[in-house]
Amino acid sequence: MNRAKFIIIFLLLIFQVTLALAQGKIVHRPPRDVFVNTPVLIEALVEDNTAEIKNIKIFYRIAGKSAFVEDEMHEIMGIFKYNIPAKFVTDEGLEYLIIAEFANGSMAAFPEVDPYNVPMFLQVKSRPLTTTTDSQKTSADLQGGLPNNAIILSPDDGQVVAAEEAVIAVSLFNAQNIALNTIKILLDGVDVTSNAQISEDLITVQPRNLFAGLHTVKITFENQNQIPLNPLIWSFTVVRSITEAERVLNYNANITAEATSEQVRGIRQNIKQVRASLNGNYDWINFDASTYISDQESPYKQPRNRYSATLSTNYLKLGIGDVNPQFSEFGLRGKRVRGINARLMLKYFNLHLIYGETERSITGTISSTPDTLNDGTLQYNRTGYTYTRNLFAVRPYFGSGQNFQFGLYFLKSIDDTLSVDLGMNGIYPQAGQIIKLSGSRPQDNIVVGSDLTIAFDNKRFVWQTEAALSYWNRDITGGALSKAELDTMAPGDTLIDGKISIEGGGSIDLKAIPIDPSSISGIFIINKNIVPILPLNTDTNMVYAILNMPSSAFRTALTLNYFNNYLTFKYQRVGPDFRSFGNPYMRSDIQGFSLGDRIRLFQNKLFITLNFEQYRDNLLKQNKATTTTTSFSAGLALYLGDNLPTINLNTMQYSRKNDINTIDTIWISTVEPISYRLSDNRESNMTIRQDIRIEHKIDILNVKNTVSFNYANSDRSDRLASSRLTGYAFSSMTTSMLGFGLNSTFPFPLKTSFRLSNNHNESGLSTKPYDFVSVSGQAEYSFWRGMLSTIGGYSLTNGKGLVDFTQQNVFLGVQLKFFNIHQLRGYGSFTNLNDRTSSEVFNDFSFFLTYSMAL
Amino acid sequence: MRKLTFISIFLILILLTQTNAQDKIALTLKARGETKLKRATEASFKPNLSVGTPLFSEDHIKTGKDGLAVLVFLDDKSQIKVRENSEMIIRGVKGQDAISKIVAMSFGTLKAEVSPQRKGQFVIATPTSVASVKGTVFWVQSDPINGDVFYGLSGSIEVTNNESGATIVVGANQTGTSTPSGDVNVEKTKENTVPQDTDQETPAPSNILKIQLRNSQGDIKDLKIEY
Repeated sequence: MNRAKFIIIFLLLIFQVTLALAQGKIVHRPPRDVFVNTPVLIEALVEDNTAEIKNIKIFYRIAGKSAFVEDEMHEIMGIFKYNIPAKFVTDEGLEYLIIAEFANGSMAAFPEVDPYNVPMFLQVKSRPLTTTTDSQKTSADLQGGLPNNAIILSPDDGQVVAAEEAVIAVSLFNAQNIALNTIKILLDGVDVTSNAQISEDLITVQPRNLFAGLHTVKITFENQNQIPLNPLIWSFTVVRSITEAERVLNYNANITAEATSEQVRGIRQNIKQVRASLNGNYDWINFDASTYISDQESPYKQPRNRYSATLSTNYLKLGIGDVNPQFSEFGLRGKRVRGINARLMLKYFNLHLIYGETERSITGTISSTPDTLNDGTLQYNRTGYTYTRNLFAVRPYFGSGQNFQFGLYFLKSIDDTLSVDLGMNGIYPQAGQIIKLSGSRPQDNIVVGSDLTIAFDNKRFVWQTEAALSYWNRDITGGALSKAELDTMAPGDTLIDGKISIEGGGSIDLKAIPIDPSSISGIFIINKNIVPILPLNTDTNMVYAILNMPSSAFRTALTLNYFNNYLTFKYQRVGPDFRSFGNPYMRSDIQGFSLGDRIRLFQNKLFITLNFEQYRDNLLKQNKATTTTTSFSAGLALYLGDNLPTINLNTMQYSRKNDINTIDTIWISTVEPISYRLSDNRESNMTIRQDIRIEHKIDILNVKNTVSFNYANSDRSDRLASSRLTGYAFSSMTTSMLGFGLNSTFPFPLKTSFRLSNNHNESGLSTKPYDFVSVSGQAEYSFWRGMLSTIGGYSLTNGKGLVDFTQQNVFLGVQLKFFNIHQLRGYGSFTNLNDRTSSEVFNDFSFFLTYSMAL
Repeated sequence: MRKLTFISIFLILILLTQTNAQDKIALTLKARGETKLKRATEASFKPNLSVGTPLFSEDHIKTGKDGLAVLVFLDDKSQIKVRENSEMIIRGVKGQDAISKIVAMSFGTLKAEVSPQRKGQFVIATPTSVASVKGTVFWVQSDPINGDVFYGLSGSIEVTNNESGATIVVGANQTGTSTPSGDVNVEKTKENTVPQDTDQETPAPSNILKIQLRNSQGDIKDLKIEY
């Protein structure tokens, strides 16, 4: 053994006996042949996970779409599976990512780096390139097709099989030339292809509700050149069994109860929670119900508990309880609604309808000591209350979206002004005593919009656009105004002259307003608090006015998928007054574009990602400055093969710059002694980030090791530093992180991991840098063939500089599985924190106990 | 020649330990009674192996006192019937036109119905022996203490003892033994010693139509139609 080898093995052995902080890893091999309109089976395993898998979710979308569809993967004997529906498998490509959430709060993702922004991309094959003439096809049909080389695995021809063991299985191991998208499976003449799991080497169908008797299977397929192959036709006989009832009703149920007690710097928080779910199907109907109950639920906060139940068929989906529907970017996008979520899905006409409560009423508090007003009246202040907010949204849409879809939507959300009682704690309005609501005001919001999707050339070209207009009333306390009351609606306008005064001059004749606002109060409450007052700026020409409506939103996106390039162009403008309660966190007052390309090279072994985007705010020049943000990012991912390292490189530049070029002088006194203050509101800064991650698997002495190395740095600097005034404070930040990890799996049931990282930080607002060095390790060992598993670990973090501390943590966890369906988990953690900055020492003990049962 | 065979089998074993656990190599056709499965990436067994479950290289299968599992390999439809109280790991390396298979058996009883293989493509390894199988049907009873018994039903099996390196060929109607001490032996199979298939019976017909017939003399006969 040479010296280098000895050193490597010695280091590995040292690392393996060191306890480490492990993190799960998702093992997934993307499917190779994916064809248009064919379901894609995604399979994944989780390895090296030290904590229980809470759930594994898949997020998928047609490449280039803005929103992912989220769903939970189903575990079947350790493999997590999901069939991405055929409608998402288009020529445009398919994007997906997998997120595993563990019971200890950690997560793992595939792809590992920036999965949401750089998801896995699958090239979807359309029809084979080689064309086949009709005569060729006919000839092959007449001859019964070419040899297929597929093997019937089960049931054998003529076999008698119990219904509960009936699985139709055909091996394609020796039939690699079969075009998977041409496979059609008929069971007793009924097409069951959609129920099949089709992969490159196996077709399986597990038919449900097979009646006793003779059944015939016919499988047809074509090769890559569209030439029909010999069909497989065979028969088998099914007999009943005692488990027939279970065949008809399939269900899964699980319940988990958890008690957590966490102590941080001497402060303890206890949380108890229960989760339960039930899902399954009966014949053609699917059902799904889940609940989450937490002792953190309080009538003084928004709901923490969750309840939901869904029934669905191919044409109708009806959900009640807590749902997170989404149907547009601007209208409704993931906001929790407690109510009804119904969807009618016909081929050409579809309807999506949501009704429910998005916020519940909270009483808040009332001041115990009143203020005495000038007239002697006692005034109590109410704060912290919230009104019940109801939401109704409907979207009829036409077309499947395959080539065309046009939708119209309407959203109405309004606070219930009666949901917060004025009086509380025995204090009520009465003579000489008033109660003032000093918190939020009841509001009203409507959004109308439309969306259009046009796609052609097998969705290599897709254009999507959406436009919406909103109206928002910031305070509906007084209700709607009548037409006559509009006269004096404007602030300071007390003159009844039949005109509405407009801020900045001008007026609108009341006669020009065709409707009485009070007559439409059921749709929207119009009073002086509406935003905007006028939807159009009448001072400019009509085209400019329409393009610059303050409460409008518009976006358009074009995607092109040609020559291994996936190009995207997006433009978006959201006016400063646009507001949707169905998407309350959407940024407004922004306009800009983004341009991106993802290039796939060398049979998807090399991915290059390039993105550029530029946005600006202050669209109506109402603010002092306009800020422009520009970012450019580039990424390179190299997947060389099973025995070679994987390499990820990413870099990003992000800049912010406003249009202020001078330093403001604020005069405090213009007479002697002259006094003024200089204010530098200029902004021009740049953040540059780079990161590299290399991972490689090495097997030594029957020990499987995964070695990872990552380095990341970030630097935020002021580009105007040379011209700043003395004393100007800029929050520059320079960080660098170097990390090393080693996960090892031994031939006996021991897994270890080790992590070492160093983090260096320098902030422009602090006088000295601060550094963190962290080393951690853990080991997991299983007893009794996995019925009992234990995990233990230690971590040490040392901070120096601005923050000066040493933190040590020791933890131990036990997991016991019994009677097949029960599982008990316990975890205890002791942390010693020596905070030298505050001269305090904390000894914190945290633990959790979890019981779960799965049927 | 035997040495060469042993070396080639050894090399295959080495090769098979380098397999990719993501390779789907077999399918579960039957699972009755107490059955368990542990994937290569999992720390523990999961109960109730189900019909239709695909199996990957390095999957660990275990049956309890009433367990039965029938597995079929994807490349050639070779089958393994794992009887009660057995434990084994299946491994496979996908080649261009076949899967090189190894069944690493810890203990228990199995029946292998192996389609014709190229030499060394189907190996059964126990703590005591390594059996290279061509097209054949045979039973194996493996016990780490008492050794292995091979019952040949058709074709032939080449069994190499791990301790002594001694090799025997077990043919149809022959019984081969291989012990931890290195002894091997082949003899004619004795009556009633071969394990019986428990899943061979056709499931009982569940419906019986009974028609009672009476002739002119009053004799009654039942006509039963099972369907």
